[in-house]
Amino acid sequence: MSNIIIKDIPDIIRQGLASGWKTHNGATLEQDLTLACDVVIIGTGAGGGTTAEILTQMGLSVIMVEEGPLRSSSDFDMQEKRAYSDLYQEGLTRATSDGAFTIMQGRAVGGTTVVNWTSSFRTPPQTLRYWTETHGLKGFTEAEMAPWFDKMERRLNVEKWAIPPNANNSILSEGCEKLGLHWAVIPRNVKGCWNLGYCGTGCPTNAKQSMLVTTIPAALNGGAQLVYRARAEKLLIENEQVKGVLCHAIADDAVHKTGKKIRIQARHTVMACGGINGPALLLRSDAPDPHDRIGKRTFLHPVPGTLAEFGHKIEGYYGAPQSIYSDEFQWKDGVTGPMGFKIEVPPMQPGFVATIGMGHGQPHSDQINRLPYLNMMLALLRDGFHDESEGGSVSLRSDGLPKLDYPINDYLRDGVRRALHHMAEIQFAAGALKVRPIHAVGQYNSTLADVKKQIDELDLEVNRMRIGSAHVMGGCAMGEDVKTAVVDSNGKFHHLEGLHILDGSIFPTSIGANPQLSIYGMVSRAATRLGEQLKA
Amino acid sequence: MHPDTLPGFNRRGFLKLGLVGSGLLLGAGLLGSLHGCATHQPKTASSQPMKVLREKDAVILSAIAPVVLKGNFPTEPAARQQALDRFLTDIDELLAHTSEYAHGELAKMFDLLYLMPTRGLMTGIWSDWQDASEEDIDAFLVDWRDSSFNLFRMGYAQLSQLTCLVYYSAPENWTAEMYPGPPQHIPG
Repeated sequence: MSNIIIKDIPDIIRQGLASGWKTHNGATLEQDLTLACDVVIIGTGAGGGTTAEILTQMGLSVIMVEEGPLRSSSDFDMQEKRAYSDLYQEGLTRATSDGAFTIMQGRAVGGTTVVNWTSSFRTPPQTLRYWTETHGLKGFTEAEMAPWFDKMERRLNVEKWAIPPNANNSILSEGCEKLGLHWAVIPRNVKGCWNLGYCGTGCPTNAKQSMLVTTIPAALNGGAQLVYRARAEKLLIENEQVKGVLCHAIADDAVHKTGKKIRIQARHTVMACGGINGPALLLRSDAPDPHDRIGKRTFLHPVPGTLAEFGHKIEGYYGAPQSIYSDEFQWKDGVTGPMGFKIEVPPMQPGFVATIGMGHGQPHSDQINRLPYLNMMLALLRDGFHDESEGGSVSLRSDGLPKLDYPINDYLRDGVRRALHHMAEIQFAAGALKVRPIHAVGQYNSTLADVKKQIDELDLEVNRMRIGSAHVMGGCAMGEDVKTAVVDSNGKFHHLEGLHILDGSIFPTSIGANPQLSIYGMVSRAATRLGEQLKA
Repeated sequence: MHPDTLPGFNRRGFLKLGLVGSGLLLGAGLLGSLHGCATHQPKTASSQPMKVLREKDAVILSAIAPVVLKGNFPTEPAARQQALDRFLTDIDELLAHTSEYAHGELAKMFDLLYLMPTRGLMTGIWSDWQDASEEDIDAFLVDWRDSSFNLFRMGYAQLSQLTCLVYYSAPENWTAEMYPGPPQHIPG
């Protein structure tokens, strides 16, 4: 065990509860609950948390609704065993319907911000320009967005990571440096970070400026209410006006309904429940959708990876998980050309590496036994910028919960193959002894030529290659044209009154960077406008 | 007739799965209900009832997990039994937090893997799971991994990934060489 001891961390959630925060735990409700407010916000991640703080500060009465549990620094013991089942959607088993993608998405008060790896990028100017020119968005020029990014960077203490990167990240900068490729330091939303490496299991020191320790406590201190362990079942719709939401109370296993219901009546409803659960809520509610756009163009930043073994210890499970990135291959073929990608590395805890690494038997065991010497590299493929990149679509399963279909085509496979090539090249340039593409039959090769040959010959069929996603975007696209968009440029739902969607689900494409700051910036502006309208 | 001599089988007796095979997997729910699923709940080492897993699921996982984890899974009988009990408890706990839909889908797959003749046709394992050799189980995993039908490849990914996630997330299974573990956490 690491010799660091984490203790005496003030638990701001338990302190807040003791100070009289108004919260309701669905799991322990003994009877149905009815509440009323100005604005109900469904979902407490990057979009919901940001909206809650802004609207509360503007004097509106706010109720936040969250399906997951309310946890805090005292609970975050850095154990994967507990974190995955407790803090991730479907206990980390969320996947696309054909199993091609493993989807990592948070399920707790604070949403994915509780478990993300803190990378905080502004929306790239190329993406903003594409949205403005191709999707007709209003107010999304770089200059118009800059003050909102600036505001949220200050709010969440986003700064370039000033401490030297851990060895796992250094491999990316060293490899890129040797090859003459772009690399840079990642801005992170942390304050007093201990450089531990456990962002993905919930920050035990409250250094990560997630919604759980920033905007949500601010909203609760300002009188907002929080209802957790509550799954939004249906929007209350009367005469083309949304009047709130009906929720099922959810048991502590995060799966079963307790049978109790929570009805929240509101002047205005904000959905911020993500690119999978959000479209599903609209579909369950029979929300008008004359052009069949709800749940379409769901993007994932498809992520292939390569593993490399080094001759010296890397210990990638310790230290800030993401501090270096490369955008060398992001825009060089144009915004709309072959799929561009951002290269990063993940944290290297054993459950995650063993699972994502694919394989079984003695070779798999041999690999995980070399964990301290392993580096993993990831490429976030920028989907949604090309005719052949339409993303996925969300529909309802027989149990009413969402299902995501995301077809894999040759355009995407080409991006996967190029990304595998370049990542292997960077790993060898940084001194890797051997490199292996993450694939059901991926083998280690000790030369670049051999691994490139292997990559060229790999069958990239679904469930042979492994593709991950930690970024669900789109599904309720923004746009001024009602034929192609679900909400307008301010997040207002096109076909009903009283409903905004303010989260990553309204992006018309993927971002081309880890999306949290894109959500914060866009939502802070839209929520401010919404608040002004509601106060008028 | 031994399956090896039937047309359409390879030397391990694994049906070269075509539409029939994937249809079997799709129709698993119906088949399971026709045969009357065992609902007896297995107990863990601490004799707590399992939350999701049924006895037959535990039998199958007990056979497969040591092969997926070969090399790192204990071989000495007492240690092996202890590791197995812990593994079943842990995988049950993870599954308990997934979804009712996932519980249903897994149950369908386990029904097919448990019953004859579907088990034999789909895996090439004609003996009971308890008696299957390590080689036969490995061959079944490889067949599913390399199948031309996604349903089987997905089955392989689910079985191998769930097993690895659960096993390597458990502190008892780390060696000092593999992972020294996280810092000590004393709740505030």
